[in-house]
Amino acid sequence: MNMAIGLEEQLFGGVVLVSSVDTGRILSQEAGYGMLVLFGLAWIGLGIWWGRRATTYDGFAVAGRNVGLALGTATAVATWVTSNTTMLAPQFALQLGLWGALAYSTASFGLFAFAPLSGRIRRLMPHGYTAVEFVRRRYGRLGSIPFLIISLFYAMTWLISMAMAGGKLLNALSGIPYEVGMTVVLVVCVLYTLFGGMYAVIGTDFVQSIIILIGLVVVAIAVIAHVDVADVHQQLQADRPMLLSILFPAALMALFNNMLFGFGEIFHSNVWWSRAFAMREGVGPKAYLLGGLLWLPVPIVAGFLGLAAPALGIGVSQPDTVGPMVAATLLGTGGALLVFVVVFCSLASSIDSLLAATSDLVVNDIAEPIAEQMTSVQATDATKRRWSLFAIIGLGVITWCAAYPNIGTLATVLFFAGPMVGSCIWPIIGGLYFRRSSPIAACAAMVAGTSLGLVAYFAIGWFVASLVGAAVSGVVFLIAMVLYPDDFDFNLLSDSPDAPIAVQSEGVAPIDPDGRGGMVGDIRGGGETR
Amino acid sequence: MMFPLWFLELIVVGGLILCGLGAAALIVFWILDFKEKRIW
Repeated sequence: MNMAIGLEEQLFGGVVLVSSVDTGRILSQEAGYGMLVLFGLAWIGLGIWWGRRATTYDGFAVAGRNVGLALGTATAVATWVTSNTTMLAPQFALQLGLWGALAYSTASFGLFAFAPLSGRIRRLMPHGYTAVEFVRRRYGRLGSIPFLIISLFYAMTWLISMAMAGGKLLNALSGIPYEVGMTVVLVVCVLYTLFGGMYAVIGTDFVQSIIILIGLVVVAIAVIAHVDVADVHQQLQADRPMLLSILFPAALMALFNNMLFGFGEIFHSNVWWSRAFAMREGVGPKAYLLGGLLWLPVPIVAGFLGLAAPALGIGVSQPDTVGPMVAATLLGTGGALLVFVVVFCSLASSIDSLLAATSDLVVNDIAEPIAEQMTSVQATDATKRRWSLFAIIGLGVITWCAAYPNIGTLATVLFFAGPMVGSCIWPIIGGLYFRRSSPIAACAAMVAGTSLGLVAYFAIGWFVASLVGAAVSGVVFLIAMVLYPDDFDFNLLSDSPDAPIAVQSEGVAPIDPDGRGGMVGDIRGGGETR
Repeated sequence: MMFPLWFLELIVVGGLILCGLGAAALIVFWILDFKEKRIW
């Protein structure tokens, strides 16, 4: 979950995910390198092991579409626990009080809301690969072009910000140089995603989610063993009453903004759609519901570490490392190692998912349509698999090039995605459930929501951007749907992705007269936009 | 107006229990899926 870092911008005027100065280290450089090598090799080894299953493109891209409840739930939890969740939540609580931790946990509502959608997605598109593919088949080019731009912008900014956070966090925790930490985390994720595709991503997510949950429990129990919750409450009441205030305006605004950003992120991102396609029929709704339930307490428990710091007598020179400082103070080297591993897992579980899901977009929604236009030949399974490898390596290289200079303002670009993803909420819900949702309504909603949301971002502040984006998009979508209603046949979605084009090329009557089976950029039916 | 102590205790202890139960549930689900041969 990312949006919470927007709060820092308001508080400090500029965003630094984690300070890279040398103070606040909890581990020696040697220990840091040791853990990096140990767990890096473990993830790559597991990736190769699970990757042996990925013998087809379906296996590589969507793990054979038969993922069970255990791995389905774990991948929802692990992917949504980013390094910000484990590192920033304590800082949030320390600066915005109890509301800060609660605001962060509202990001789980997006997982709850996506649960019924995931079941519907799986039923409507049993052979689907990407969210953009759904929008293309549902709304045609008019919807898929703005949606693809938003999806790629969000995926790349999240990927780059995660790589940068990796370099900065490992530097802050153990003094490993930023460039080395960032490169190692990225290379490890690229390698095991390359070898195992979605099998490796979901398999490692299972191990990573258990490490994250157990790590948090161990550290939190250590805190409670040293200081009673009542003592923490008493200390806060005496020294920092604002942190316990029920009426804390900045935190209340963060709550609604986080919630809406979370909805937009999950509803539109192929990271979550690819998992809906990967889970066995009937598993998706349960896995997302359970995933949301297991994710919900993570920011609260992590936030408690921040709230407990004053009562534990831990001086906080750097708010962003308050969680690790508490763990290292109470549990010594073992606690420091545990936090290092939890942070590494949080980073890897998000970066690998982004690499896999974004490479699916590149292959299915960019490379395949272009190749088809140029050669008029359907891409084979082996060809798409090869394109995936190039896409994953390419995404890794682009991310590394963008993250290497360590430009602080680059991380702020992710916040622009707030209104953009917020504007996708209604077109997605409408497209999945209502026949009348039309291409023009979807396009107008995304363009208007994004535009006015960005205006609000600069004119008012980050804390209203997602809200304005989603609200404007909703109103425009509703009005356009009434003025320009559609009568969509949902059966068109259930064909295999290439069926409409294959049928047409054989000279049989097209089953997709509106041209919605075409790819992004296709010019069909005299260049009409649907 | 401040958050009362019972609320802080509720969300911290409740969150802790939920995290612990969550990790246990994932392992139990995995064992059940493994027995039924439906992990993947």
